Amino acid sequence: MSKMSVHHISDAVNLNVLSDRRFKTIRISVNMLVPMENDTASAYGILPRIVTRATEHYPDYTQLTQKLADLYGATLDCHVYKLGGYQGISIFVEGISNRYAFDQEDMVSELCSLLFSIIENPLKDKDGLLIKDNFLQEKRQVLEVFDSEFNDKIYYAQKKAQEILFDGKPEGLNRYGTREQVENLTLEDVSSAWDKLLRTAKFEVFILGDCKFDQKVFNRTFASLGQHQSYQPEKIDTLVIKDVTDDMPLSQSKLVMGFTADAEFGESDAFKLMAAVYGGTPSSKLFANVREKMSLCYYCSSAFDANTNTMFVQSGVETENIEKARKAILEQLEHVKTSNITEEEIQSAKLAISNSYRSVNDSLEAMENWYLSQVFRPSVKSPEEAVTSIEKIAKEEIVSAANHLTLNTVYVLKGNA
Amino acid sequence: MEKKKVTGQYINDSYYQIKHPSGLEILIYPKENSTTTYALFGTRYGSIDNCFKRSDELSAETVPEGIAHYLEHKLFESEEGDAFERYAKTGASANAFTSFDSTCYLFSCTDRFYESLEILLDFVQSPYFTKETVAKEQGIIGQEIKMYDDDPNWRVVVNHLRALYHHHPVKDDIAGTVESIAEITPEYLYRCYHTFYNLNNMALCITGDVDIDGVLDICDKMLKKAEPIKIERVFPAEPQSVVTHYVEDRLSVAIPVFQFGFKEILRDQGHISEKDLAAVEVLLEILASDSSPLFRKLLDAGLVSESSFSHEYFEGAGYASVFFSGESKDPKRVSEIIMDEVHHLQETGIDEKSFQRAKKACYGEIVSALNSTSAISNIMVSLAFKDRELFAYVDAFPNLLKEDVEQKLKQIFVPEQSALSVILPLENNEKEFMA
Repeated sequence: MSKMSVHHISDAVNLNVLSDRRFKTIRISVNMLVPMENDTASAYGILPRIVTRATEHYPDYTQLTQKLADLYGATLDCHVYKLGGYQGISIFVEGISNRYAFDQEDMVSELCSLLFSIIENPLKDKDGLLIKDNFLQEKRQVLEVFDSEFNDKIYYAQKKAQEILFDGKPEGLNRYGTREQVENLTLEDVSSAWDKLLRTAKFEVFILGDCKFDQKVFNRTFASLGQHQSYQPEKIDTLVIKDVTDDMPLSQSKLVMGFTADAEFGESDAFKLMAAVYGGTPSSKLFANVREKMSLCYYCSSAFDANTNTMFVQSGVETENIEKARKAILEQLEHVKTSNITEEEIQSAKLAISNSYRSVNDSLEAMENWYLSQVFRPSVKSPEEAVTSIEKIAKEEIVSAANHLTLNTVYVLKGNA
Repeated sequence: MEKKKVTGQYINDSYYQIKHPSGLEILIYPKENSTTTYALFGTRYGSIDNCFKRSDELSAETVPEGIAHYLEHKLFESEEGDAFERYAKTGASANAFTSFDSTCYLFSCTDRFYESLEILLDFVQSPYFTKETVAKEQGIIGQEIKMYDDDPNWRVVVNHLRALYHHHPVKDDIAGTVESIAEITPEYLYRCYHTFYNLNNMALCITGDVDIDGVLDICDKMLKKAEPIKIERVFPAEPQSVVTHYVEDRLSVAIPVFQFGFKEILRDQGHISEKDLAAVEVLLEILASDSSPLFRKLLDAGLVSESSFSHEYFEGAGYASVFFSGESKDPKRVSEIIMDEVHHLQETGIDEKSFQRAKKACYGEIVSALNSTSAISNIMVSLAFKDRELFAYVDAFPNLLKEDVEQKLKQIFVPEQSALSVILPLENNEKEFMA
């Protein structure tokens, strides 16, 4: 098993390195983490799309994409995501390793050079602003992301439930802010936001796969950037359950239930195991009962998010069965709360989690996500360490975790087609 | 038992191909130090196989739509319980899927592989259907069908296939319809099971850090020798023409979803080789990848987005089409621009630089895919079911000639053979949801 080694370049920047010849590819990514705030969300969200569209050496979109195609279909892309109450801006490159290139071209150098040129010197016009055409193109495409999210009803229902549960807190904001905020973005605002981003973000840089790296080069680019950041999810009090239903012309309704967990940040393994026993695997209570035995839902599962201390149950259900399904889902949770769990159910959940965690070792992207999801926690565990921790959890801890859940939100996308 | 070692020319990996005495084709791709091991056990039986003739019978038989998918659901059950319950004890993560021309059962694990392999080989070879278990599944599959009915990305494809194909069963929904599945009985299930789940019609592929002989020992123990029957798939005669050039539907979407494509005129059920596949992939890369002039035109006109525009060569027994799909404010205009660009490329020909670049990009993509145990197993079985081989496919790219690609450009993109499928928003536009 290969181990991720962490190099602290500064209080604000970490280099996470995993050199592993099992992979035929390399992946280098720069993750910038900033607090999710209304007045910066959209500007930060659109930035990585603009700066990866064209670079100082390849100032035209097609020129750049042709260069990437020449580099054996390499990728230069970006990703915007949420980590608890933080917004993550990722710019990354991926490509095959040198040994598969026909002439053994130095893929690492080529890809790093593209990536660094963006961080150090993103493409700007003579007035020092980002390129207007790139800005307009990406603005249009981010607005289409909102449309696209609306098209996907499962994703849409989940997002709505989160918005309602977090009720204005950063954890519930859309990773790109709101449609209106994006529409109101100006080139000037976005251009000045870039420097602020580089100054204030916590940096997590990953260098993964079949490659060797030169620390001096990375130090030079990143040593003076960023700022220390820390985060912990706030405890949410539920005074009354929020019950929201939206009608929509759909054949199948979506029922999403959001729970808050009274858990210690970074000490939520029992909640993870509980969520798996409850609804995380085909042998879980929700799958075996609500889907299989009662045939109430085509899908019905639960997932715990340790960065927000919340658990969501998602299900797809016939409109006439919504109430029945809601009752059944809560009934299954009662079983967990009252210790009505078999040793078999616990064992199979532990094995499933163990398999899932260990599998992370076989994917560069999964490895990055694994470590990235822990950056704000008091301690970081490798997949193997996390497996060991989960395996030690006793039934009483699972029951206790279930009893520290509070139902906060029930969101229904009611199909009326 | 003969173990044939196959090694790539450009990728220095090897795998083993074994024809087991039971009739099963076994592919084992050792991946040293891999944490995951992925096994896939599949049959050449999909939603298009509604009419078939066995070599040991005199006439063909037609069955209701949706049986392949129904079988996939039901096979997990047995008198003793459910295969998922068995996997729960070994910790493997299991799944299955039915496509137009195959049904595959798979699992991925990081421990106790041989035990999980036994479970896989056992339950797929042990059919058990009763009136009660069959009836119960109707509800679940009915819900699955409804879930897909709401999915614009699925509906646009189904509608498109209906626009392209008059009679070929590829136009039918993989899960069937609520009406067709109501006709399914245990008798039909056993009939189709015993025809198609014959080891001579199946393949097993395992990728991971495994011991070849260990795997073969389990196979020797678990595989039941199959009758050497052949299956002839009977398809209705399909006219070369398309049904209609345009089809639209309305669903709750904020932006239209589209699929535009060309139905290839197939000559004499000719076999599409690895080289043919590679040539079409390279052609599509030249024509429509994000480094293409076409894509730039569409992007500059605000007609597509980088994240949603894609292309695919969709082919199988008796059908082959090229698809361009995505989300757009004006799908009709997208189809016109694609048509123009195809015409332009046919006139000017393909330039050498674009060709070389496309070859490298396609090659790089397939090399990257081979990182993953699941991708390897899935690609290998999918190729094997069409009498193709992995390294022949990979090595075809660097060895491709420009003439190979230009021939495909002429052959596939015939204007009369095109059709556009669009999913438009509902007429009462739910703006209040789109904050």
